[in-house]
Amino acid sequence: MQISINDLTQVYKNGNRALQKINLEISSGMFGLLGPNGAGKTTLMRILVTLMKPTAGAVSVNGYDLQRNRREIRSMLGYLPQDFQVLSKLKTWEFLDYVARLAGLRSKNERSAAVDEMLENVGLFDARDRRATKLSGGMKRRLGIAQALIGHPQIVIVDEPTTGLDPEERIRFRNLLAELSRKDIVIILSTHIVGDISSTCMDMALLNKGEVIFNDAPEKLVQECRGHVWQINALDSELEAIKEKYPVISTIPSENGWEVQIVADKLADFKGEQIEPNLEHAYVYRMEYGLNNK
Amino acid sequence: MTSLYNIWVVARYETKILFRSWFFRVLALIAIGILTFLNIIFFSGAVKDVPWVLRGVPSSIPYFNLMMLNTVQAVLTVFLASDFLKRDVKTNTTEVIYMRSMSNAEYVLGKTGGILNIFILLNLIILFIGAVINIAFSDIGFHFINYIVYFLLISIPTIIFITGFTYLIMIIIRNQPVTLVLMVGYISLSLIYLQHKANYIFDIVAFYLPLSYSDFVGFDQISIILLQRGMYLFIGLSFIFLTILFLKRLPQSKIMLRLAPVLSVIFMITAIYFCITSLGVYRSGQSLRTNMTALNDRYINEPAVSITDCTLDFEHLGDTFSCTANLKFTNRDSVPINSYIFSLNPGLQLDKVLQNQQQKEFERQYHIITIKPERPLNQGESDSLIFVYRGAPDDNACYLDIDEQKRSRSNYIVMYKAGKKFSFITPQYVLLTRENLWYPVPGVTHGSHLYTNIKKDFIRFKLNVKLKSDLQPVSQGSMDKMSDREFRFVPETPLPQISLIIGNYKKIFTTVDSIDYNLYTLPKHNFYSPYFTQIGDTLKSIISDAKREYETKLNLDYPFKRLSIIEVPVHYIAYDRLVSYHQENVQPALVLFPENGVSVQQVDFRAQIHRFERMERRMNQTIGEKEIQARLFNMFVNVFTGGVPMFNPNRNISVNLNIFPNYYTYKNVVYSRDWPVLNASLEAYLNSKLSESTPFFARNWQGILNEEKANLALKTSSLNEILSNPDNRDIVNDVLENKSEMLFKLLTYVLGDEQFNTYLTQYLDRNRFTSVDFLDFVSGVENKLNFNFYDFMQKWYGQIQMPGYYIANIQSYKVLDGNRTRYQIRFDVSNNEDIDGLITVNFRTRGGGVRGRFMGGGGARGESEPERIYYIQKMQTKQIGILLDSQPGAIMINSLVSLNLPSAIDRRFEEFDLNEKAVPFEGEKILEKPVMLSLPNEIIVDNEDEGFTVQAQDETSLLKKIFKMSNGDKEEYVGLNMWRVPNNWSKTIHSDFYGRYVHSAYYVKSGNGSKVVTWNANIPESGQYDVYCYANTIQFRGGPGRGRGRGRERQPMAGEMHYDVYHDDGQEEVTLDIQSAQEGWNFLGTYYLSAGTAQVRLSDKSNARMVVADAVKWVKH
Repeated sequence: MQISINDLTQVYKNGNRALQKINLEISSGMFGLLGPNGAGKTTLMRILVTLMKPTAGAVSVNGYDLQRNRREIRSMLGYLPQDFQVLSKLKTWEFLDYVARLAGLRSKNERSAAVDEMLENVGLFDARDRRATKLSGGMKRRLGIAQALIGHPQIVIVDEPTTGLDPEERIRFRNLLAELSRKDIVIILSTHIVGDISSTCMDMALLNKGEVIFNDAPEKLVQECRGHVWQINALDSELEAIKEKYPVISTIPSENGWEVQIVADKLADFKGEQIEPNLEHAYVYRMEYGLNNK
Repeated sequence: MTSLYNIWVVARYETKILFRSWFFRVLALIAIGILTFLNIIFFSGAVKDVPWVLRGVPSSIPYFNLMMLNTVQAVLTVFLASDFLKRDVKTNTTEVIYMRSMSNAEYVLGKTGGILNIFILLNLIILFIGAVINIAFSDIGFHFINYIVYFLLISIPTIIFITGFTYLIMIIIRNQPVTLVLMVGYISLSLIYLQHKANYIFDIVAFYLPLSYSDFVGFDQISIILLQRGMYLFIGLSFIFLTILFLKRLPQSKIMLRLAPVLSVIFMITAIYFCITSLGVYRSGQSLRTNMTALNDRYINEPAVSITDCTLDFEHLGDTFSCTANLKFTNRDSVPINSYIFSLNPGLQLDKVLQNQQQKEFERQYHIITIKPERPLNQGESDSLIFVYRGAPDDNACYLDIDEQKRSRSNYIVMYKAGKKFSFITPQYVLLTRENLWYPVPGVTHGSHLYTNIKKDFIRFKLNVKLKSDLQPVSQGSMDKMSDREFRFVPETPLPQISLIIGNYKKIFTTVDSIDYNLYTLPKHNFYSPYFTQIGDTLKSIISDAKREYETKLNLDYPFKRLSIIEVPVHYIAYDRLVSYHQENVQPALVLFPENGVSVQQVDFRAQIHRFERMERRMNQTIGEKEIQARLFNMFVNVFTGGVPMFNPNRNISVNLNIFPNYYTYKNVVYSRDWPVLNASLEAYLNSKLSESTPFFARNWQGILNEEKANLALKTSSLNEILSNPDNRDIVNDVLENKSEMLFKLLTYVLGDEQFNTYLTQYLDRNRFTSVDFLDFVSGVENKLNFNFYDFMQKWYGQIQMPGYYIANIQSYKVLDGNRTRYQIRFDVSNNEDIDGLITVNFRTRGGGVRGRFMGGGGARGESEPERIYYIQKMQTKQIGILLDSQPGAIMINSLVSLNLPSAIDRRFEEFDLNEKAVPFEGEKILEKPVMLSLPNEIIVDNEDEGFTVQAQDETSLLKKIFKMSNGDKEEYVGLNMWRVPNNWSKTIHSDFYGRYVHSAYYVKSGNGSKVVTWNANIPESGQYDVYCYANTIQFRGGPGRGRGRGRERQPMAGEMHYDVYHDDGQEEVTLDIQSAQEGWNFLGTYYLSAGTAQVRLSDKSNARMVVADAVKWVKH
């Protein structure tokens, strides 16, 4: 499964350029999409799931053109939007059944089994007869995940999938996606939670102001900031000064003050030690120093 | 390609979502609840008082239910359809659905299917409830197929149309509240204002479409119904496909992207075609009638032959018939006839005309057939022709004398809308009358004049009928069955017309006094028989008594050997004609009775029985079932012998089944070349002997009575002028009735009541089934007339002048006449105009009624005094004296045709005091001095005079203007309505008001004093003047009283009126206390007035319910 995005541009009527000549190649497996608010992630997703027509550029999915072969592409899709709402008058299983039918599961037995299995997988089996209005936020999110995954889609696009989920649910979801990613399926995961990407994605892109500013494996991004991540044992009186001078990743209280992790090209005025970077460090380093240097 | 599966999936879940919507559930439950309740009330028999007409219309249950439901579901559809697009605007809700693999067409059609599903469910529930009640509890037949048909015709097109139209509006304006307002407004406009206009084109919810079903012929105009419903269906589909195109979702089907607009256009073109076709049918009818009328006008003065014999060989072919008409005719005119002119329905194709077995050439223009004989037919000569024709009559060619506005009105039977048919020709049913011109008639039919002297011959008919199937034919005359499907009808007497009805009839009959009475109904329309199980032995005597009583009134005999009452389809209607007293409902020896007796109140047997039972309980007496059945049968007979009620709440097109035409119209013709309306005049006079009196309360809503409107018209136009002006359509019948009454009362007066009526009866009897000249009629009595009859008739027809009477000094007292006490009534009457006149006097005895045309009604008809007629010459004054043996309750002095308004004075009598000195006086005395309404020193200004002015009327609100616009111009006189007193000064009439000829006053609802009227008098010389105002019982009682000092009179109205009297020293406000005021002139005060103008004003300021302004008098000392 291969998605090729070429010079994809989206300019809204108010002149806002949401995407500017995006070029990406996405293969089977988990693909992470990272970026600040307004970077264009949701716009890109909505174009990919054929909810929006791009202003310019082309997208091909396994050789199918997104503009001309919507039927074929839609039949491969599963989608969880950022702001997912359920049709409130339907019960949980009914909603899933509805989507499953539209996803092509016509056989009643097959569909029924798929619905039950999916409800089990997302931990909603006990709530199958409940109306959507009676589900908690997390349950609705899980239902959204279920409807995105039902019917064996070949492309799954999820936008902030773990919002509202507790840690256990989040782990379960990651495991679910990880299992899926082993098949010939493209999973595009857009999230603010860097941990979701670092733990599951083989490939990622970093979007900022409609442009791709990084497109490679997460390790590569981490590699960029190796040697630029510091941990400072700071006193109370030093904390503010550190915050003013450097981007702070984390602040953990310690016996004598604070353990402050920062990213910086060079550390001056404070004593600190270099630590092993992670994706979060890398993201902040890239956003702060990579863009500024540019 | 479009996947039906996807459509079904979307529809299925949309149905679930909509069904679970509280909005839908609540409204649906309310609709189900209300309709179930109404079904139980109207159709189950639980409430016995419910009129038969509500359920007697065949298939009334599904029709009623869906007609009611459709109005509600139209509005509900707007909500649900707009909600679909509103929900879809919120992208997050449907993004996960939108990105699925389905085309926009599948999605939109699926959503539409969901909407349709829930309404189908709702309809099924309602129909199921109706069906259960129909089968289990109702006394009317159950027709399963009609439940389906009504659902398909009424509900589906409306739902599809409203859904599509709502989608379109939502796409354009994208605002649900505004869409709701627009759509609900549009539905309301269609229901309230547009209604049935332009052949029901705007009737979205099929509320006005004639969807009543007849067990004889099914639906009327099924093609029009299908066109109209098809139009809405296809418009809806067109809009739905347009929605597919404009849906805010990226399309995935290229084929559908191209196909959707194409289908939308195709559907719209189809809808437009249906619309144009439907309008075309509507307009083509108008165009045909215009052309036919123009042709009639062209040929009206051409001499026409008189048919003597007519043999018709009729063959029923299914939807058409073929006929050969063998006509023998003669020329009774004094001029030779150069061209034979006949009229035949333009829907019938004339194949050939034969004479002496040779084909004759003929010309055909619409209905007119012209044949040139070899030589002119001279007076007294005879000839014959054979016409061979076939087809089906075109109903558009009937009733040319009925204006298009009246014609366009729907045929309502309570809330059901039936068709409007004047003839039927279907494989299962045939109904043909002369109005349909189903056989050639000589001359023309109606032209553009209000009155056309249509030729009427008495013809010896023979009718041979050949049927296609085993149906029962009915016509005039004796019937011989020649074979299984061949029949012959030969009327025993010549007739002016012949009818033919063929249907699946069941016949029951009886013979009473040598007359056969037949009742033909559909076998399953047996609504009447359970109610007459016990009076088989008394039916004949009831019929005999009713006939005797009827003929006593008319002084004429029934001339035929049989009378058949034939049930006809509910769609059949007959219009009231101008200048005639019969409808096509009554044919010679036949009465066409509405299907199942709907709209004939007397046929509501169950309700009548229930009323009798209530009466029994109330009066604590037992009437007995046999007696009840006898009364029911009497009421049924009264349908044919009683008067036509003033208004029938069950039907907007009146049904007149009175058999009077059999006593005159189909038996005699008294024609006149000089006064062509005379035959109708005689008909009016004879018919008036049967007329119900105009109820007293009619004036309250009408303002002035129809006969008075007629007199107002005669004030400025002669009878001839009125008949010539098509704008006088609304009053011409009343004008003719007035003039006829005048004419024949004159003859009655001159010859004596008994003598004239005997002469009339004998003359008509002697000349039955022939046409006679009116002058021949008059010649028998002319020697007894003390005036030149011909001159009189010329004036009667062509002159405008009318008498005008002052009637005063009505006195009533007891008087000693020998040994007995009698009741003396006397009054003075002056005819102040330059033309002789006639007045009649009638009395209402205590608790009794009065026969005649004008009378305040109330109370059954008791014994009454005979009518008295008085001839008052021009400028003559008489004192009339009448002695009665029993005390009268009231007197009515009717001025017939005169300048007086009201035309009749109605005075109730109080107790009669004994006047011992009085001398009994019976008769007439000519007085030298005319009746004076004022003395020489009195100056009276009435509200009718120039000196009376009205000021400061409120502007009518826009809404009221709209209503008033639709109701036509405001009448000069309004009704005297105590419960809805007008907000502005309005003129009304009553005999208790002051007036010379016109007894009127202004009245208004009491207010703050801003509405003022003024009397301005011209004072000839200065001096002291007493000023009076005129007050009457209307003001005292807050309405026309029911007698003074007796029984049920109203309590005196409390309140005051405030007059401002202007005089030399200024102005004085005089308060008149109503309770202490006198009837007549009330003294306001004495004032010094200089020569010139004096004024009195009256405002609406009062604490009484209303203020009345009549007349003011200044009397010089």
